[in-house]
Amino acid sequence: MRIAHVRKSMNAFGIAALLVWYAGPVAGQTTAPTGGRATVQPAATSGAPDAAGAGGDLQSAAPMQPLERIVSLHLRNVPLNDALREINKQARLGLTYTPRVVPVNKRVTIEQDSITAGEALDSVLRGTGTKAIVTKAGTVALVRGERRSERVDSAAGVVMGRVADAADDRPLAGAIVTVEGTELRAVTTDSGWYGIPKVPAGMRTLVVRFLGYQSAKQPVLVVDNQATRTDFALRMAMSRLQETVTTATGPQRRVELGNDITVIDADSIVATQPVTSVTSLLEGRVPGLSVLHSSGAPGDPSRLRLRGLGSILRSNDPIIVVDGIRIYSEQSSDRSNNLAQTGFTTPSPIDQIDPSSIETIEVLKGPSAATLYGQDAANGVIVITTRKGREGPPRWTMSATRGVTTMPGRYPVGYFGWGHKLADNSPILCAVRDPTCAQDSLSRFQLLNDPDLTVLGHGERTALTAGVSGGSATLTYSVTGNFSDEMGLIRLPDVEAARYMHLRGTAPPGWMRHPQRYTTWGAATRLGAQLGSKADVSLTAMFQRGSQRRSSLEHQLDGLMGTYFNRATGQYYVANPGSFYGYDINDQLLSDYFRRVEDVATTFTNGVNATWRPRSWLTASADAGLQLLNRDDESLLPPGMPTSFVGDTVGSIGIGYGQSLMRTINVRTTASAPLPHGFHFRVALGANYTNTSTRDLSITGRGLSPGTSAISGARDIDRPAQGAFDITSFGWYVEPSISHDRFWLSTGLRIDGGSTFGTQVKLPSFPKLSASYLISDEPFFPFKRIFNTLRLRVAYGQAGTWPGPADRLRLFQQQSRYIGSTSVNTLELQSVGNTHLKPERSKELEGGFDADILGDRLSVSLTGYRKTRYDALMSLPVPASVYGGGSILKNVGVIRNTGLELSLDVQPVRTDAVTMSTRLHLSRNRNRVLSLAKDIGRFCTSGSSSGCVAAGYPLLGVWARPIVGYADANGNGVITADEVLVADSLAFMGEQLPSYETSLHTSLSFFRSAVTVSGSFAYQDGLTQTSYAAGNNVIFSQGLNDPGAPLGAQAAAVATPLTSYGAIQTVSTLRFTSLAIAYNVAPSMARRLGARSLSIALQGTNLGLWTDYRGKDPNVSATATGNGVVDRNALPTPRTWQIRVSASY
Amino acid sequence: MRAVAQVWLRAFAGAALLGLGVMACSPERVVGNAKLPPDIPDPTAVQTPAGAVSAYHGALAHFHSAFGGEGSDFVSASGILADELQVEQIGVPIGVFGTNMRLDSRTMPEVLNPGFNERGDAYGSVYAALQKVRGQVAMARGLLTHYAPDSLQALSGHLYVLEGYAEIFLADLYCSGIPLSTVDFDGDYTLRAGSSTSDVYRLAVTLFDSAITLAADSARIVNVARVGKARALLALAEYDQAAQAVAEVPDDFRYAVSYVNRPGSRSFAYFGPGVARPYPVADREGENGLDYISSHDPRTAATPIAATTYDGRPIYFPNKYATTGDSPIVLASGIEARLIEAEVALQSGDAGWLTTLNALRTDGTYDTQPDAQDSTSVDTLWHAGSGGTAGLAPLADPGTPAARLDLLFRERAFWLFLTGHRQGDMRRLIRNYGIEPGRVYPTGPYPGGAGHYGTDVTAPIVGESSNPYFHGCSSRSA
Repeated sequence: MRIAHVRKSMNAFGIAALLVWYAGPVAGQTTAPTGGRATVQPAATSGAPDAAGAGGDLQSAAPMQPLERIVSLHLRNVPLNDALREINKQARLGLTYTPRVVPVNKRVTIEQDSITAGEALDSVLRGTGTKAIVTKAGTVALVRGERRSERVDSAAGVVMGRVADAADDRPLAGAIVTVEGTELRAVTTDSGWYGIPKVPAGMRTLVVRFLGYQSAKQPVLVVDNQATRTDFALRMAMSRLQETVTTATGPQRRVELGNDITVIDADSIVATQPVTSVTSLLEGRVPGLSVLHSSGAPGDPSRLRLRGLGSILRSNDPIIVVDGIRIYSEQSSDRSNNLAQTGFTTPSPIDQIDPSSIETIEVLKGPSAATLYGQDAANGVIVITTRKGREGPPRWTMSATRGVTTMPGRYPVGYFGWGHKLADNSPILCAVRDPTCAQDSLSRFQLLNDPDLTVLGHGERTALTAGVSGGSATLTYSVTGNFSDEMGLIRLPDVEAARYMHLRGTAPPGWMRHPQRYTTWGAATRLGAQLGSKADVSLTAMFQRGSQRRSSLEHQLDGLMGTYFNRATGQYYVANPGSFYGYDINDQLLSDYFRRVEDVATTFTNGVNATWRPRSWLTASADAGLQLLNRDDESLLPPGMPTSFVGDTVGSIGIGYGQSLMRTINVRTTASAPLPHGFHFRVALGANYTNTSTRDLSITGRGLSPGTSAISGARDIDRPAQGAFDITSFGWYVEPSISHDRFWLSTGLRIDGGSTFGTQVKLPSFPKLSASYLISDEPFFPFKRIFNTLRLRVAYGQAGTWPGPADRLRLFQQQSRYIGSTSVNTLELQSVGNTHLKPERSKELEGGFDADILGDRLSVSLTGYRKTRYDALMSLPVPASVYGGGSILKNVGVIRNTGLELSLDVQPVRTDAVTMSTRLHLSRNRNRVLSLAKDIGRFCTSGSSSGCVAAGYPLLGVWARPIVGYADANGNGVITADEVLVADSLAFMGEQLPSYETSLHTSLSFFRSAVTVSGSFAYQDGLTQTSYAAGNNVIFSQGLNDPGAPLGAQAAAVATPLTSYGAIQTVSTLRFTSLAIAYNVAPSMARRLGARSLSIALQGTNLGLWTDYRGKDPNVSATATGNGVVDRNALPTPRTWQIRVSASY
Repeated sequence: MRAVAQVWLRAFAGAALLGLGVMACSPERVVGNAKLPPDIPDPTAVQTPAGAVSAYHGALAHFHSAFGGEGSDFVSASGILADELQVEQIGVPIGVFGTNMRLDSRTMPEVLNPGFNERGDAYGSVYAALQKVRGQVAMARGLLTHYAPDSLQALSGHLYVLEGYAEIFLADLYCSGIPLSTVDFDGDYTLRAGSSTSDVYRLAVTLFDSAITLAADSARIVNVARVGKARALLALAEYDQAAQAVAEVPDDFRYAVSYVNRPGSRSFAYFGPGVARPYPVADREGENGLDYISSHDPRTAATPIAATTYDGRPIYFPNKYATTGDSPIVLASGIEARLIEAEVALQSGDAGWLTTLNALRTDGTYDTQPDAQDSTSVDTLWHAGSGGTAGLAPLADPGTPAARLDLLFRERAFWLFLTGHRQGDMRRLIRNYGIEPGRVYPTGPYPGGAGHYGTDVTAPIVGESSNPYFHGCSSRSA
C-alpha cells in the first residue's frame, strides 16, 4: 500500500527507483549480493538514460551484481573510451553508452588492484556528469546524471548515500537512516545504499542506526531539487546483535532469537591467542560453560558442561554440529578411555577438529535454544562453522609456533617424623601419637619438588598451520592444513634411567624417558559453488589424525607424592593407600614405568549442504553428512622389564580397535510472507535423521616373545571384549514465527522417535517459544541517551536426552563357570530392564537483555535461566535383597539448574594511539535435585560418577561423615582417635561443579594495532574437591607427624580411617590463564618481506594460580568417564610459553 | 494488498505441501523396530529348557561363590568376625579399619562413608552375594517351572536347599531385620521389609521341607536338606525337632562344595600371585578365642607360611585347605548331624551327648592335608567307623553344665572348623544359652596396638538404602 501511494506522487523516474529500493527489503528482495563494494550511484541521481532499452527497466536497478565484479586496472593517461573497454572486458558488464553523453576522449588514469567494477567506473567517470546504471537485463549503461535534477520534485531535495562498516567498508543492509525531527526515513539496500526523497531544504541532521553498530549523526545541507550524498561509516558496537547465527532452521540474525547464543569468532582468536584445541578455544569465552580437565597430559580430554549437570546417568555432553553435520561428541562415555583396556584417557572427539579450520563457533546452551536440534540436545549444542572461501585472488595464511611447557608452582609438602623404637632404639617412622616410639626429628619433604628425583621436567610444542582461500563469484574455496607435535613434561629421572641401565644393560628407550607425546596433522576443505542465481552448494571435507602416547610412568605421580626418600639409607618410604597408617619401604624410586600406551585416532568428516531459493519467499535446503572416527589403541608391556611383580616380566599387550560412524540427513524449508499492518510471517519445516553406530573390539595377551609387539606374539590370549552401540533418531519440526519491525516471536514443535525408547512409550514432542524485542528502536523509548541499543528477550523450550540402546531391556548373560571340576554354562540376570523408559526431558526458561550503553563503550548482556530436567534417568541402586543389588534405570528424577550469566564488554579507551577493550563473563549456577521418585531417599553412587543424590541437594554432591568435634581431653597437645567425634550419618559437603565462574579478557592495542597485549584471568568458586592424596598419604600428613600441628589438622588425620571429611574442601581459584603480546609488522615492511601482513607474538598460558586448595591443582580432576570429580593426583595443567609467527600473502 | 495476499497464499501452500511430505515420514516409520546391538543377547532366548538348566547352574555357581569362594564368601567373613580367622598383612603393620579390619575388630558402623575410605569390608559383599543366590534361585525355579519338562523338576528341590542355606547364612552373620525381597523370573521384583533373625531361620526350615519333598529321589539332596533344617531349628532353639530332622542322616554323609584352581572358581583359601591379604588362622584371638593352633588339634592344624607379619609373627594357613584354592568345603555332613544330636542330648540331660562326641573322635578318621602348600585337593571326609583320629583322645565329662556346654561348642568349633558354622554357634551361645558376649567373642586390645575390639556380634546390613521398607537393623544383638 505504501508503494502504491508513493508511486502516485512520484513521476520522476529516478525517484521511483529510489522507492523500489526502499520497498526492496520489505518485499524480501535478496538478489543483490551483500558482499563487496557498490559505488554506482543510485538511479535517483541519474537522469533518463541515453542508452537504448534502459528506460523502463530501472525498477530492477536493485541487482548490482555486475558492478560488484572485481577488476584490476593499470592505465595511465589513456582515453576514457579505452578505460571503459578494459573495465567492460574484465567485468563482462555488457556496457552501453554513447559519446553524446560520455566524453570518450577524456584522458584518465587508474591504477588499482581488486576493486569493483562500480568503483572503477566511478573513478574514471568522475567529473563527467555521467553515472552507471544496471538494466533489467543485467547489463550496465552509462547515463547523464544531470538530468535527474530536472525531474526531482521541486518542493524538496533528495538525500542519498551509502552506509558501510568502518572497519572493512562492507555495505550494511537494513540500516535505518532518519532525518532528525521528521518522519522521513529509509532503509539501506543490500549494497548499503539509501535514498530519502522530499527532504525539506535546509540544514538537516541525518541519523543512522543499525543493530550491532554504533549509531551515527551527520549534518547535511539539503538543496531544493538536488540530490545530496552523505555516506556513513559505522563502527561496530560490542553487542553484535546483527550477527547471523546458524540455527536448526537456517541462518538467522541474532536479534531475532529469544535466546542468548554465544558466538565465538574463532578465526580472530586463533590468530591472536594461544589456542591449542577447540576446548581451549571455548574455555573462558562462554558464560555458563564449565570446562573440567582430566589431566595436563598433551591431548588429554576435558569435559564440557553447559549450565550445570542435568543427568546423573546419561551424557551431559553437548552435541556438536559441524557445517550442519552431527559429529561424534561423547566426551564422558567409556570410549573416552583407551580401548586397549589400560585405564588411560584419550583425546576428546571435539579436539579432533583443527581450530585453525574454524570460522565461528556458536554455543547454544540449553533446551530453549536447542529444541529443534533433536531429542538429545538438552545439554546444549556447539555449532561449528568451518572457514569459507571469499571471492578474490588466493590469499595464503601461515603460522608457526614453538613453545615450552613446565609445571608451575610446587607440590604440597609431606611430613616425616623420624624417631626410634622405645623397645630397641631402632630407627622408625614415628608418628606423634605412637606410644611405641619417640620422635627425634621432623622432615618436610616433597619428592616431586626435588629436581633430582622428580618425574616432572619440561615439554615442548611445535605447531604449523597453512591455509589458502579465494575464488570467483561462482566458486569459492578454503583449504587449511595443520601439524602439531607436543612432548609432555613427564620424564624418567636419571636415577631410574641409571638403574634400568644397570639391570638391563641398555639405556631405556626414548619413549620410556619422555613418554608423553601428542602429534596431530590434518586438512580441512570447504568449497562453495553458486549454481545460478537461485541455488548454492557447499562441500566440507575434513581429515584429522591424532596420535597420543603415554606410559605407566604417569601413574606414578600419586605414589611419588607420598614418598619420602631417606638419603642416608637410600630407602624410599611409600605411603600405602590400602592401610591408612601403613607404608612400604622400597629401595627403588619407581615401581613401574614400563608400559607404553598409544591411541591413534583418524577422523573423516564429509558433508554437503545445498540451498535452493526458487522464490524470494521460499528457501529449501538440505544437509547430508557422514563422519567416521577410527581408533587404533595399543598397550604394550615389553617382556623382561624389571617390574616388581613377577607376573609382569613376561610382558603383555592389549590392542583395541574402535570405529564410530555418524550419519546425518537434514532437510528443511523456509517460507515467508508479509502480513497486513507491517507484520511478517515466516514458517520453517524440517526433518532430520541421525544414526550413531560404534563398534569396538579389544584383546589382551600375556607372555610376549622378546622383540614382539603384536598380539599374535602373545602366549596367552585373554577373552576379547566387544562393544557395539547403535542409536537412530528421526524427528520433524515446524517453526512458525512472526515479526514486526522491532519484535520477533517464534514458536516451534519437534516430534521425535528413537530406537532407544521403551516399547510402551509414546513419541515425545518438544515445544519452544521465543520472543525478542528491540525496545530501544521504539519512538517512545525514553532512555535513548543512555542506551544505544536495548533488546529484551525471553525463550522457552524443551529438549531431550535419550536412554542407552539396551537400557530398556531385561538382559541375561551367559557365563562359563566351574562347578567342581566341570565347566558349565550358566545363565544369570544382567539387568532388570524397564519397558517404560523414555528420554529425559529438559524444560528451560531463559530471559534477559542485551544493551549497548554509554556511547557504545559498554555492552551488557544479562541472562537468567531456569532449566529443569524431568524424567531424569537414574540408575537406581536396586536393594541388595534383590539379586544382590545392581541397578535399574528409571525416569524418576527432577533436577533443576538455575543461574545467571552476565557479559560485559567495555572499551574504556578508544583512540588512534591506544585502544583498550575488556570482556568480563560471570556465571552462577545453582543445581538442585528437586525430587526423586516416591520412596527413594538419598543414594550414593560409586565409580566414574561417584557422588550422592538426594532431594534438595545438588546432583552428585559430595557427602561425608563430618567431624563434629574434637578436644584434647588429656591436654597433651595430641589428638588421638578417641578424642575425635565423627558423626554417624552423612552430611552434605558441596557440589562437584563450581557455583561461580568468572573470566576476564583484556586487550590493549597500541599504535593502530601495531602492538597488542592481551591477558585473561579465570576465577572459580564453589567446586568441592576430594583429595585422594590427603587420604592416601595421611601417614605423612602434618596432623600425624608434626607435634605442632593444629588440633584440627590432627583430628582430620586421625579420623581419616572413618571419614574422608579431612580430604574434602570447597575451593576457590584465581588463575592467570593467558598472556599474549603481539607485534604486527608495518604493512610496508611486511610487503618488503613479500607478505601482505606479518606478526610475531609471545604467548603464555596458565601463568599463575592462587587458591586455598591444600592439594596441587583443584581444576584437574575430572574422571574421564561419567560425571565424577575427584583429585586423584593426575598431572596438573602445565604452564606454556610459546612464540608464534603468522603471515598472510 | 492483493499482492501481499498472493505471496501469503503461496507461502502457505508451499509450506503445507512440504509439511505433508515431512509428516509422511513418521518418526516411528523411519526408526522402525530397534535392532539390538550385536553384543547384547536376545532376552527371549532364555525361555527354553536349556535356558532353565543354565539358570540352575547359575544358582549353583553363585552358591559356590557366596559360600566359600575366592573374594567375598560367607566362610571367611563369618570366620573373621568369629575367632577362626584374623586379619593380618604381610610385611606391614596391622592397622585399624583396613580391609576387613572393621569386621575382625567387631566395629562395624551401620552407616558407611561413600568415597575413598569405603573399603568394602566383606560383610557388605557377602550380603549381596547371598542375596544374589536367593534371586538366582528364584529365577531358575521360575524358568524350570515354566519351560522345563517334568523330568527336570527335581532340580527345584536342590534350588530350595541352596536358598535355605543362603538364608541360614544371612541369619547367622547379619543383624536382625534382614529384607528378603523377591524376584520374579519374568517380571518385576518386590521389596520387603526386614525379617527378624528367627523369621529368617523359620523360612529356611520351610524351604528345606520343600526341598525334601521335591528331591525325595535324591538321598544326597534330602540329607543336606535335613542337616540344614536341623541347623535352622537349632538356631531357633527347637532342639527336639532338630534331632528328629537329622536322625536319618548317615554318619559318613558329606555334602561338600567343590572349588577348582581357576580364576573365579577358587575357594577363599587361595593364596597366590596378586593376593595381598590372606586371612591367617587365629589362635586365642582376643581374650576368648579358641586355641585352634596351639591346641595342635589335627582338625584345625595350620602351617606357617614363609612370610610373616610386620613385627615378625608367623602367619598360619589352615592345613585343611590347599592354598591353591581347589579344596572342597563341607557344607553339611554326618558329623554335623551327630553334633546336633549331641547338643540336643545335652539339652535334655541325656548323658549320651558325651558318648556321641567321643564316638566322632575315636570311631572314625578325619583326613586332613599335612602340607598346606601342597596343591593336591584336600579330603575333609570323616570316615565313620575307621578306627579313630590320631591325636583325638576320648573326652572326659567336665562335670558342670557350663563346662559341658563349652566342651560341646569347642568340639563343634573344631569339627566344623572353617565351614561357616562358628559365627552362628557363637551367637547361639549368647542368644540361646545366655552367655555374655564378652565371654564368647574376642575382646581386649586389638593386635598391633591399634585400639580395642568392639562389641558387635552381628554385621550390619548394607546396600539396602534404596529399599523404602528397610529401616535398619532392628537389633544388632545376637
